[in-house]
Amino acid sequence: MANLSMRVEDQSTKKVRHSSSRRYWNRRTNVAYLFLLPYILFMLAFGLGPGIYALIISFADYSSGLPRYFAAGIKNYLAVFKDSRFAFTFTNIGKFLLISVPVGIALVVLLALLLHMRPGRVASTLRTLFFIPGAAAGPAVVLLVIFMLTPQVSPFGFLLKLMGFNAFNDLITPGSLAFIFLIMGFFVGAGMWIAIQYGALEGISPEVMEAATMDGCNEWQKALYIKLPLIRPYIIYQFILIFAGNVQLFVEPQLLSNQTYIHANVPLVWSPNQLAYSFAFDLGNFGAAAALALIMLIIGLGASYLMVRWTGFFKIEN
Amino acid sequence: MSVKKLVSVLFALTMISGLLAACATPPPATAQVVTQIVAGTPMVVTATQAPTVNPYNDNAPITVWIDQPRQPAIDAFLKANPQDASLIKTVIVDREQFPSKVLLFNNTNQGWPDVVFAEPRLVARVADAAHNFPLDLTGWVPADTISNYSAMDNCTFNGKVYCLRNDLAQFVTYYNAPLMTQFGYTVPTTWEDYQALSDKLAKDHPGYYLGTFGDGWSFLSFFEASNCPTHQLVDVGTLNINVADPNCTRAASLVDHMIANKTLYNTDFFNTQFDALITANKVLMFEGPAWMWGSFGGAKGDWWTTANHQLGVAAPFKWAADPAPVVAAMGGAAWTVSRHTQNPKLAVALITFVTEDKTLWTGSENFPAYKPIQSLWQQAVSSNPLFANDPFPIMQAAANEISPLDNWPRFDLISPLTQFTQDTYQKKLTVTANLTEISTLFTPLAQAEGYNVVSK
Repeated sequence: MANLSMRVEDQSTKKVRHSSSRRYWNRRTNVAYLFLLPYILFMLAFGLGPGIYALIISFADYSSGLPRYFAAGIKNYLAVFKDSRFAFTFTNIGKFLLISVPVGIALVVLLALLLHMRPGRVASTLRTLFFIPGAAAGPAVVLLVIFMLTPQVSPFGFLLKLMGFNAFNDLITPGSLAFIFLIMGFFVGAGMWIAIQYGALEGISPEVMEAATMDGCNEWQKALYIKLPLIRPYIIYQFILIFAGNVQLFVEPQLLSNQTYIHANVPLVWSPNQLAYSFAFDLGNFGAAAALALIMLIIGLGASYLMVRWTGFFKIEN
Repeated sequence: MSVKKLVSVLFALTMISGLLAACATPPPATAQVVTQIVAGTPMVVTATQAPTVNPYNDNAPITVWIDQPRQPAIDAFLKANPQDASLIKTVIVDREQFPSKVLLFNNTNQGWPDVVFAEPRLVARVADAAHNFPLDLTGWVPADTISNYSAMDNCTFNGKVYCLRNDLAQFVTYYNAPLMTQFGYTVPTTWEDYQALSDKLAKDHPGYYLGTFGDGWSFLSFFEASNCPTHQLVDVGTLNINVADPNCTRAASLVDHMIANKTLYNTDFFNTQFDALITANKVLMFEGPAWMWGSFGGAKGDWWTTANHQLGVAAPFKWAADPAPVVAAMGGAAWTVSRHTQNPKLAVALITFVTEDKTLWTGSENFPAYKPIQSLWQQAVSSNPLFANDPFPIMQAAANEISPLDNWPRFDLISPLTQFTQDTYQKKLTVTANLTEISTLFTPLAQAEGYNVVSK
């Protein structure tokens, strides 16, 4: 090896250096792909694969029970738009997003900022406490919230009764559903997002904070003028994921509308994803269900794209 | 990756998968009898099945979907037929999921259960073209056996027998006999008398109840019994929804009257608060299905505790203007067999055994649909110390008066009706004022199922 390089000598020094640096980069990217591989495989199997399957069956005709591929044309898409529940479910989910996305983000960021103001044992204990409900899965939380909102059994029953709610059904009205789902969603999701935003705050350079202190900022000014702008990318990230998650609301309304066990004033089909479920499993029209699922995908992608464009989220600084 | 690149990659993937899908083997073209609904008009498209050399296998295993209370019936069959024990696999399921599961199995073209215990309303939902599940039993069960079952109308679709009735769930009047004597009341026979009694009770004994109205079933106990066409099947493809019918308004004003004088409670039958009232002897009477006596400290006593000879059973109420009572039903199940089964012989042997076996039915709280064992069931029930009087003649008479409205359309009635009752209470409206909401709730569900909705 040494002899070889001796022989080629100076004339090729530059070349060798170039090629070695390219090999170095190749190896680095190969390793990166290796690390990405499990994710990519699962994404193909459980994300992109079903997506493509949905695209195919959204053009399939199910009127005889079994799929006839590419026989429906755009009939399934028309069936979705023509369904009398389409406008209802999209109005509901629109209202829910209008409430849940801003409220969710504002509360999470506020709590993270508050925790960050007083670092130490109290903050880390609270952070853990906030995180714990996230361990409960969606359906369990629904049951828990039903339990908490039933005045006869809830530990806060006396409070509910003071507010004039004597039965579970006094609380669950078509008008209050969006708020009930907000409570359920926030209870599960907030802890994780508080941890993420807190992590973002921890990442702010101490010099910046010191400089702010030197300039005479109080804690609130620091939070508002220094910390908040610095964690902006994480807030946008939270917006995108919360929007994509909440637009797919399904478990909560589906469980609450189970009239066999819970006799509440909850429409059978409240959210668009429930409508897709109803297309598939009430009417046997998997094609229309797939078409609606793709419409939901486009809405989620569209909102994320607009947000990214509007904020320049992916722009690399410097 | 730029957006353009991403789009082109996605496009390529779509094309590849499209090709793959196109190359995949098409589903086998099986000969089917399909009822297609073309623009609301039912049309029977019949493709004759090519004659095959016995496509069935008498030794093929079968899967049976049941609920927990049906386990003893299966055990009894296995005890009587030990040679079939290895062939029968039972699965306890939530049968409300049955229609959706069938659709999934249709998609994968495998996995169907062979025998399912379900109400005829669920069988109706799997009998349409998209589900295409049940086996026509006419070729498998002799006609004179089929004629021995009561209420087979609910199992018969276009002349095909898709299920055998297990039990009947006709409503009768349950009353607290000692309490009635104590108050000096007699059991009403008409809905008008019932309403008059409610006024008397409200005045003399406030805090006592004559029933409940707060979910779909309790709704039907009043409205189906009034012959109110909220879901009347005119023919296979036509559904009559007419809440303005006088039969609906008379039931609505009765319910409103009794909600106003506080003699109707506002929950379903099995709500814990209502159950506590029954156990505390605060409920004088209510209309309940034939099997409900089992909840009174009878065979199981799982809901209400009652002293012996306390539970009275009376004929269901009738409207003074009607010649006879029209009886609502709450459940009353059946057994259906899959058309995909490999072993219909064993499946049919099983469902005839569990519906006809004498020892099995002697101790049952359910009213048997198989007529030859009804007298045997009578002996067990009539001698039960729970009752204040012999309930059998009343239940037997009511069994023959079940409303044609017990034939359900292909969508669930209970959930929307429960929502209706809750919404009426929340909006503080009278049932009469809110009645049109039922047609608002039912019409889209009916249209989505392909019914031509009329109002007459």
